[in-house]
Amino acid sequence: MKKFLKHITYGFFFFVLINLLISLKYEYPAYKAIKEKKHKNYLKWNNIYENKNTYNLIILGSSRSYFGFNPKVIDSSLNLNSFNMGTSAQDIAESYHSLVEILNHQNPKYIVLETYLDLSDDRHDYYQIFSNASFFKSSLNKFELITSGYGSDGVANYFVPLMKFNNYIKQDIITIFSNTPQKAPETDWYKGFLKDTVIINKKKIAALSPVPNYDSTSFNKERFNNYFNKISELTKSKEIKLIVLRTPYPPTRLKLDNNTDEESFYKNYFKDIKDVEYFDLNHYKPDIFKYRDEDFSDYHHANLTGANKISLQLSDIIKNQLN
Amino acid sequence: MLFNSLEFFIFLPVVFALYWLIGNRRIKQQNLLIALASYVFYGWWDWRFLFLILFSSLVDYTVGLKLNHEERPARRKLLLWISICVNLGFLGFFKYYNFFIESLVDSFTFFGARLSLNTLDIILPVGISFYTFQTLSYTIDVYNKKLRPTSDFLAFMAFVSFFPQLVAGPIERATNLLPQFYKKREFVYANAVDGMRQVLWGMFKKVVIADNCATYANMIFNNSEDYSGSTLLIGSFFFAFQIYGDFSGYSDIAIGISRLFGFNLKRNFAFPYFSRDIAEFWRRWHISLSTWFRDYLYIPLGGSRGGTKMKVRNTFIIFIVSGFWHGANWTFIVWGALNAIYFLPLLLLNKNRVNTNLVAEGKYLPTIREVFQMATTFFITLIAWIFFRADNVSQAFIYVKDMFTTSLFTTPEIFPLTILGLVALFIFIEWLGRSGEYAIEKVDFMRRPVRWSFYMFLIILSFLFTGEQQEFIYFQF
Repeated sequence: MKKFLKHITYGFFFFVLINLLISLKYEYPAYKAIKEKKHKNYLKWNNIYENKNTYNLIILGSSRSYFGFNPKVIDSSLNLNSFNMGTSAQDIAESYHSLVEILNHQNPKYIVLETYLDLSDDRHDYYQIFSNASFFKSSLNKFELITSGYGSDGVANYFVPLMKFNNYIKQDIITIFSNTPQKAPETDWYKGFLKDTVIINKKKIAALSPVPNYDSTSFNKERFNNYFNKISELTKSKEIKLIVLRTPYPPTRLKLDNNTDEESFYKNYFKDIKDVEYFDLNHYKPDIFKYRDEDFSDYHHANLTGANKISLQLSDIIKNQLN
Repeated sequence: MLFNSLEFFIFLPVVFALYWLIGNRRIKQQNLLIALASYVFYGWWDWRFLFLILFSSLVDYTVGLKLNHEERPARRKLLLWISICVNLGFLGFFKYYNFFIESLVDSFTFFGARLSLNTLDIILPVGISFYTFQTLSYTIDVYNKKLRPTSDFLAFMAFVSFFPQLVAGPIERATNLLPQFYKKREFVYANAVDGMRQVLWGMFKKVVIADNCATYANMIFNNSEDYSGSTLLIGSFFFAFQIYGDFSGYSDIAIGISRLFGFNLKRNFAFPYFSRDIAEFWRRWHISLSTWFRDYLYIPLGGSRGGTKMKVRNTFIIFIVSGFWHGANWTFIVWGALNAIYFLPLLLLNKNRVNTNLVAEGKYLPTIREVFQMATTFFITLIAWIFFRADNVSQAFIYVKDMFTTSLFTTPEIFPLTILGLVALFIFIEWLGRSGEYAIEKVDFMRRPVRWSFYMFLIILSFLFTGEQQEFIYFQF
C-alpha cells in the first residue's frame, strides 16, 4: 500500500508540476500586463472602481459587444457617459455576476445586454471567464460565479490550468505547425470599446458558416432563462432600464440559410416580457442602418464602421423607442 | 455520479481510504461501506430509485433463501417465477411500458380501429437493465443449484449495488462476484497499479475518443438530410468509435476501480473492431451481456442442439431480445435482427467458430486477407450502428440510402483532422496491445521513465482534448 500511495503521490506531484508550468506560461503575460497597466480587463474594472457612480449607460456582453458599441458615438448623440464592459466570450452567468459587481460601484440609468445563442450555451471559455472574474472586488461574488455559475466543472477548471487553458494550448500547438500569422495585440481601447479597422476579406466571406442555431450550438434555454431573470430582477430592483440587443452579422452570413432559431427565440422570448426592451439590430430601421459585409472584420465582429452604425442604432433606440 | 466528474474524483479516494483503513480483517464492515458508498453513488443521480434496488435485492435474497429450503419442483419454479416477474416487471414498467402502449395504439390505428390509452411520464432508472440481469442471474443459478444462496444480506446488497459496475456493467455473475464479498480482499500492489492503468485507459477512451466523436456523430445524425454520402459515412464511423470508446471505456474504469478494492470483474470487451467475422465480433463485444443471453436464454431454448430451424430461431431470438434490451425502440430491434442476419450464414455453414484466436497473433501487421476481413466486418457493423443510433427506423433507412449515393465519393463537408488523428492513435495503441486484457496492460516492458511519461501523455491528452461531457450512452439501457 505504501509503495502504491508513494507512486500515486509522485504522479500527482508530476501532474501539479506540469500544471504549474502551464500556468506560468499563460498567466505570466497577464500578470505582466496588469503590472504594466495594459491588461484589458484590469483597465475596464479599474475604470469602474475608480470612477464611482460615473457611468449612466453600461454595456455587457461578449467581444461582439466590445467591438460593436462605441461610447464616443453613444455619448455624443445622447449626452450620456457610457462604458463598455463587454469581455471576451462573456457568458450570461458572467454577465449577471459582472452586473452585481458593477452595481456595487456604479448607479447607471441604462444597462445594455448584448445576446446571441453562444452566450448561454454549455461550452465555456473558462480562461476568459476567470480572467474577468479575477478583478471582482467581492470574493463572494467571485465564489458564486465559479460555483453556482459553472458548478463542479467551473471548480475543476479553476484549479486545473490544463483544463482552463485547454483551447489555448491546442491553438499554440497548431500554430507551431501552421503559418497562421500572430494577431497584433489589441491596443486601441476607448472606454472599453476596441477599435478595429480590419475589413473582412472576400475569401473569409466565402467560407462563412450560417449564424448560430440550435443544432450548431449547445444553447441552454434553461440557463438563459435563469440568468436573464436574475439580471432583469436586479435591474428592476435598482430602477435601471434594461435593453437587450441582438447585434448584427455580416448580411452574406445571415442569408446563408433559412434557419431563424436565434432570431425567433429572442423575438418570442421577449414578446411578453414587460420592462425589458429587446431589439434585433440586424433588422432595426434597415433603411437608415443598412449593414454591408464591409462593416465587419470577421464572421461576427463589427469593425469601426460597423461599430458606429451599431452605436447609432443604440442611440436611436434610447432616443426614440424608450418613453 | 459520473466517473468523469469532480464529484467522483473526490468520492473515490475517500471510499478507497476508508475501505483500506477498515482493513481486510473486517469484511462485514468493508461490505457495509461498499453498500453505503454504492447507494450514495446511485442516489447522487436520483435517491428515489434506491428503493427499487433495495426492493429488488430483498426479493432475490429472500427467494434465494427459500429456494435453498425448498425441494418441491413446482414450488421451486413458483419462487423462480416470482423473482423473474418482479425483476422483469420493474424493467418492463420503467423501460417498456410506453413503448408497448404506443405500439399497441399504432397497430390499432393501422387496422382502422381506435384505442385510447395514455402513455406515462416515466423516468428510466439509470442502469436498471444491468442490475436486473445481475440479480436475475443469482436467482437462476440458485434455482439451477449452481450456486449456494447467501445468508449474508449485506454481502448480497453490496453485490447487487457494487458501485463500479452498478449502472453500466459489466453484468457480473453471482458465481463470480458474490463469493468475493465473503472472502478477505488483499491489497496487491501489482493489481492496484494495473487497476489504475486500466482506469486511465478507460478515461482516455471516454473523454478523448467517445466524447469528441460524439460531437461529430450528433452533428451529422441530427442533420443527416443536409449531408453528402461521404459525410454520412464519417458520421457512422464517429458513432462506431463513440459507442465503443464510451462503453468499453466505462467497463475499463469499472474493472480498474474494482481492482483497487481487491475485486476482479469479468472482461467485457476484447478489441471487437479487430474481428474478422461477425461471430468473432460478438465474442468480443459486450461479452458479459452476450454470455448472459447465451447461458440464460439461448441454451435453455435448446441452443444449437436441435435442427437448423431451431438454431435459426434461437439465433434470431437472442439477437432481437439483445437489441430490445438496449432500449424501447424499434431501431434496437432492427439492429438486433440485422446482426442475426449477418450471423446466419456463418451459423448455417458452421463457420461461426473459425476465428477464435487473436488476429495476427505474435505479428505486428495483419495479412491482406485479415485486413480485408476486419474491414468488411467493421463496415457491416457500421451499417448496423446506424440503426442503433438513429431516432427511428425510417431515419436509419434514409440515412443508409443517402449514404450510398454518388456523393459517397465526394469530399466530406465535415472532416475534423484532429479528432480523426486521435482515433487513429487510439486504433494504433489498441492494435499494439491487442494481446492484453486491455490495450495498455502490457506496458511494463518500457523502462519506468518512459512508462510514466506515457501515462502522463495520456493524462495530458485527456485534459487537453476533453470532449463535451456526455453521459455514458449505456446509462440509458
